[in-house]
Amino acid sequence: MNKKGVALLLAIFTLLIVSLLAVAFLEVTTSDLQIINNHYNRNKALYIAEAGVEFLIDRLERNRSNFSLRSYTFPAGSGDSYAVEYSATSGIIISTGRLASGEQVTLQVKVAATGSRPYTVKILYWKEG
Amino acid sequence: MRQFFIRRQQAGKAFTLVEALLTISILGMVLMAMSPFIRTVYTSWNLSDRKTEMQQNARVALEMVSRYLRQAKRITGIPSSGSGCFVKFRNALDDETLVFFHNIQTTPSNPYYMASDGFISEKDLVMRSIKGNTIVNALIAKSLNTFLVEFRDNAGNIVTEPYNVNNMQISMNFFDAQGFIPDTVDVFTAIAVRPDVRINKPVWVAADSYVLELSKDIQVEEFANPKSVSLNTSTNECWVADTDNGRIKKISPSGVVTVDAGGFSQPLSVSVNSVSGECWVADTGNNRIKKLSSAGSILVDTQGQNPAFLSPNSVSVNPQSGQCWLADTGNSRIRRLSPTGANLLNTRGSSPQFNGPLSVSVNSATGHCWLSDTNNNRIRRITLTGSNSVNRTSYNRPNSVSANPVTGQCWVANTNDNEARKLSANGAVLFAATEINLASSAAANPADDSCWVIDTEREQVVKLDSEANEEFRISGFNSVSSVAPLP
Repeated sequence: MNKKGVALLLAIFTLLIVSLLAVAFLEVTTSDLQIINNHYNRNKALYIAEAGVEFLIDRLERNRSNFSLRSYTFPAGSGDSYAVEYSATSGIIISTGRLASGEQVTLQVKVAATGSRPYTVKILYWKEG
Repeated sequence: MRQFFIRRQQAGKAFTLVEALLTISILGMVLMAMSPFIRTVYTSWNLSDRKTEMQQNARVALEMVSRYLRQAKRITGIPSSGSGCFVKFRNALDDETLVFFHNIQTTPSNPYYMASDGFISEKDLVMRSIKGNTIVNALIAKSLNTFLVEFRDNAGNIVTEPYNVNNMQISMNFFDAQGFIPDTVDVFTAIAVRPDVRINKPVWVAADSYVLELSKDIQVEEFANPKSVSLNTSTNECWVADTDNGRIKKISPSGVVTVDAGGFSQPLSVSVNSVSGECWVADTGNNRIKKLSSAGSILVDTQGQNPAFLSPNSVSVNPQSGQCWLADTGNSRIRRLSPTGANLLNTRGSSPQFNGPLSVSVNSATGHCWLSDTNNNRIRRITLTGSNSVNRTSYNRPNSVSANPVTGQCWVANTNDNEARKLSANGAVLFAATEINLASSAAANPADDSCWVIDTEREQVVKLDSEANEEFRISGFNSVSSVAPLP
């Protein structure tokens, strides 16, 4: 009697079950990874936008005039950047953090710079989006 | 395999029964041996799937909570111990109150608890939004064992007053609502409060149907168009002219109505004497002036007094002498009453005579009285005998004055010029704040020389610093009419 074929059948059958499970596991893990990745990117863009706000607050302590829209690579050497502007009339800083991958977050921060140089900069409100 | 079958067929033989049984039993044995393994794999797959879902929910909830809190303009309510299961705050534009709370009574107790309603149940995380009289509860996340916020200042110390909060540390623990798995999920984050807008003393505001204390966002309902608030600076109690209800009410610092006196008609102004606790009322519709005791009984009623009052719009008591100044608007007179209501002064004024004065404010240090001589477009100050000590023109229907007894200066709502002015003791304009549309109800704060004033057109309350720079605005009111800060 020749039983070689049955063993092969069994092996294939077992392999199939195990690989199905593996694929299911992989799916769960990758979707989880994707979610974490989105979360990570959003937060990264947010922090880069915050860096833009800090940059303008630092400048406001010395200079209260308008600051027209300009973009800076941040952190240096990365593909990410922030674009910031400030209107002296409205007192609003707008800063957009942008990742190389396209993710972006915009912050709107109203400030008041009072006193004499270096001016005291107070944050009046802090809005996202 | 194919070869195997082909060879069988070629040989012209089928499987024997023994062969088939043998194959099946071997297969069965192998499967049986594998089954615990498969079950384990399946269970753990299920477990991790549930857990992944819980983690996602937790992450979404954390993201939402932190997104709202990052944008908070002011924190207005925290547990008295400095950490606990709720946080009350104002949104970025300061026109809406929001509360995150874990909907179950824990220690320290949660004042926002609501009974399960089929949609929101106990153990859920809820966001309540309050805008005027509209209250909405929204489900943020289900099934939390804990929602804990710790409130700290920049040095990292726990704080117990909402206006001292600089950092919030939030931790949440989620469980599986369906009870499939015993595992729980923890998430944690820290959030900085960036805006430098701090109200660290009570400020009371009257709006269309409620009275609101701004620093802790305490809203007291069931008013009808209240037009005037006055603060007792010794007890922190607030008196309110509940105008359309014809009542005078006293509110405790925590927002409880402790006096509710009726029998008034369209009262437009109240002024409390912080020394005696008594409150003077312009009972405008009845053309009378009344004085209430601290408990709300009537001590003085000018009914029948000659000459009669006509539509008095404003009262201002001098706590040093107990005397009360009032704008007898309909008669275009300014009067001063003794603590018992006797007439001490009744003057038409001179060069020119008063015309429809809407507001009086006595400087308790000097006893002199500032007034907005509205129809003459003047701001004036008169002495105890009624002679002019300040008489300034170039106003446009000013409707409110507020004296600062510490500096001798005075704040004015120069209504139709859409500005608030700060005047020196001799009436010269020191500073002016523009962009306060139809300014009204100026209220000086002698403690920091600041002023609160109302932008009637935009329905905002504006805080000005000692040089009339605008510090911030609070929005979201309806028919906002009067403001009173505690010095």
